[in-house]
Amino acid sequence: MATIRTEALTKFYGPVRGVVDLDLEVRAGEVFGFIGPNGAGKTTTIRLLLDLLRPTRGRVEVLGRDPRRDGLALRRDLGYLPGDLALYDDLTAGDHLAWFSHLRGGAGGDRIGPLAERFDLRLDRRIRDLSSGNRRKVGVLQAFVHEPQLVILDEPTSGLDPLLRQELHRLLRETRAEGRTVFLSSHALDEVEAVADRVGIIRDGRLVVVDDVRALRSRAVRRVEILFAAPVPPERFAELPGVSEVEIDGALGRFLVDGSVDALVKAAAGFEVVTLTSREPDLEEIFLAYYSEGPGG
Amino acid sequence: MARAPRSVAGYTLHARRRGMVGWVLGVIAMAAFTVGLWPALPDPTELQQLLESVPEGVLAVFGASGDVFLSPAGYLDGRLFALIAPLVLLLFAVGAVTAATAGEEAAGRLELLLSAPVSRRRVILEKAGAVALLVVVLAVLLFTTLVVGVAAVRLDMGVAQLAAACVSLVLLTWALAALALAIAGATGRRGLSLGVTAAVAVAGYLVDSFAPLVDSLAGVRPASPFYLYRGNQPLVNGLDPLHAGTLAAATLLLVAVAAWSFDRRDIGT
Repeated sequence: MATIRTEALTKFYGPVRGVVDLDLEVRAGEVFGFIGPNGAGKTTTIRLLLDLLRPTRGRVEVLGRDPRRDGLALRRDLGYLPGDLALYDDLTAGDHLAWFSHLRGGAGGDRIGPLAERFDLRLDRRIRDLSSGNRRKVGVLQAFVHEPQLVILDEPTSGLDPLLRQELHRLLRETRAEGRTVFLSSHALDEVEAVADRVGIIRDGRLVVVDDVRALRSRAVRRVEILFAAPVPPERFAELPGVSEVEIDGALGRFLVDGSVDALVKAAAGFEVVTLTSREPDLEEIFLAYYSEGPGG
Repeated sequence: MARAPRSVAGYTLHARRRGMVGWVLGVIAMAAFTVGLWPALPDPTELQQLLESVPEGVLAVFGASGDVFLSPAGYLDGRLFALIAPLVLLLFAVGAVTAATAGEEAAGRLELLLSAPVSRRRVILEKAGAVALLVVVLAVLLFTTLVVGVAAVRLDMGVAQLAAACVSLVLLTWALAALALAIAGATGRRGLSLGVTAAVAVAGYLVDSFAPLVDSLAGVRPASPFYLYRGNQPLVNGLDPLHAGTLAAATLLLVAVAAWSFDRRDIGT
């Protein structure tokens, strides 16, 4: 069963485009990365899923329910970390978390303490007196304490230091291991890459592509650098299958490889190789590739 | 350390508790001061002679008529219930209700709250209920201070009439705060809500106070919330069921509009 399904989901703010004809399917038990530049429509999509916004047209279904008609039951099983996190900062962190637990019928009340300890958050301090990183932790905790079936995170690691980012990633993997679903929006592509199973790329309000992280990566070009013991003849590397760019500078060769590196490695084997480095493409490069293609790109 | 809130209403009360100290002290001081000055007033008979030379219309501008101005009821009405008391309660209630709704929305906090399993209608109703309760608290303190003060300075004023005036004050405050709530609920705009409500309150006050002087205002006077509040002189005659009922009905209608319209729109940021 799909945890999130949208069909032709469209939102305009007056004449201003939010998202257009979004067909999205997020499967149960996966971490789905939703990436795109600022203003592409990520937050609009999330707010439509939460029934904070009402679609101009199209359909939304979250956890098998209509967010509008069945929102209460749906939101019992949902955790949400807004990108623009605004907490009730006159409360202490502990009171805020306890209050939201009460709103959820007490769900997760007993996990507040252990999770706070895990994220090194002091519960007795007023939120307004906390650093922005610590406020962010309160936001993360309130999204996870009740162990929801679906966690929606909008730019979750902005403002978290690297250690806490790792802790959050661990939490995401645990969530997935328990069969629960995570919808993770980000413009920080390396972050999505580290935890997501599948990725959707949104651009100008439209979904450009949805694919496995692995498939996206294998589809992209990678850069290979080979240092030979002595200068090599450039003609031996011309017109190798899959090698699109060749730059031979004495003993140093730089190559741009599309897909398999087999032909290049076999050609290089005819010479003495000192070092060979191949850099995995990151989603940034993939993303830029998609972003520069397509209509109007 | 206060206990964690358990509901939307609980949080709304919690958020107001610090500011309430000031409002509570203000209301008590306002009532005590007004009643306490009664014994210090000059001999009523001297003033009475002076006032008889003042045209009735001029007195009406100050919200009093000559015959009751120097009576205990006329004094409390003119010095307290005509303007100061409703002003204080309205400032409190309209401020609190817009802060709890449009204010929280503008700050982005409603986004988090509405991601929890609480319906939008419930959010509006609980917030309205919390502020309505605090208005009652202030009115009860006003009433209690007046009852104690009136006894202390031997001012000839019935408890039932004081109660009627305070109840009428609560109904006026609720109705105008409900207007602010309806605008905040429908638009999420705090400035618009405050502005329209203030305009309605001021216009209502002016219509009611100038109606005795300007014939053309007589027709619209019954629509003024201030007329419904004290046109029947609750300090003398007690509550007018029609006036009180109209204010109560307007309150319920406006709260319903707030809940309905809030449920239908996008939550803004």
